[in-house]
Amino acid sequence: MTSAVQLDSHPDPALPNVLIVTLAGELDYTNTEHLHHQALALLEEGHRHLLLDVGGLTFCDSTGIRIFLALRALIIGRGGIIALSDLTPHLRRIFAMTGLAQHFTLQPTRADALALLRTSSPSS
Amino acid sequence: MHSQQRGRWPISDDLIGLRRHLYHHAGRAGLAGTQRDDLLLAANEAVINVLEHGGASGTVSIEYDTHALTVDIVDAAGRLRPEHARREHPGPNAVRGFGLWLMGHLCDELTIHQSSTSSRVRLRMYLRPTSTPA
Repeated sequence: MTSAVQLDSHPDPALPNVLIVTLAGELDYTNTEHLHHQALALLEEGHRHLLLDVGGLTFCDSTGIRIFLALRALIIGRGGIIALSDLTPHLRRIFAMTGLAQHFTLQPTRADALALLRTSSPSS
Repeated sequence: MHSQQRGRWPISDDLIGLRRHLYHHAGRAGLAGTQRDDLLLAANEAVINVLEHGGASGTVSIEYDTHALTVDIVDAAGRLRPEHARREHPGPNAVRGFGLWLMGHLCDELTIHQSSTSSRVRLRMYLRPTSTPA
């Protein structure tokens, strides 16, 4: 049985170089690969930065973290920023515990992350 | 005081179902909040190991008394050895290897027992004293 996880993109016309997606549900071994493909399909050449609003993610295991790391490598390769916002207290705990917190741009809310990306990447 | 087995399930890719079972039993044992979330994640990691490297078959069982809760994850491959319980941090550039490291940090005890035909990962959480009468 596959757990349910949902990915949706929320383009912001003011930030065309940012791919903004929300993740909701339970991300685990049974659905990480599918989710990874979905994310890669959404990522266009013009997307330099990635913002993952994970507020609706109620569970995330190490295979989910693997996907975050794979996406991070891709975005870093583009010279961009990978931001995660709205982490649940437990996911925040896991990121702190593993030391991953320092390798991602973690923001309290999606609005905070967008504000940060807006200032660090003015559209020319 | 005697620890009693409360549930036992075959390992399958129904991880969400397994987490529901463990959540229910952990709650009955008195585990709540972060400690319960930690246990669910650790058990989930142990089961992923079985699905990926441990022959994809085995069992998960849970038992508890008033002092501690124990979850055993037994595979049918027997490749995990006791020393795997002391795994070092895989580092930020590794995309694998977080599972065992996490189990060791999320639980009060992580031990691995190996026999010729199987490996048993044992996760233990100490139950903090509460105001509940014994």
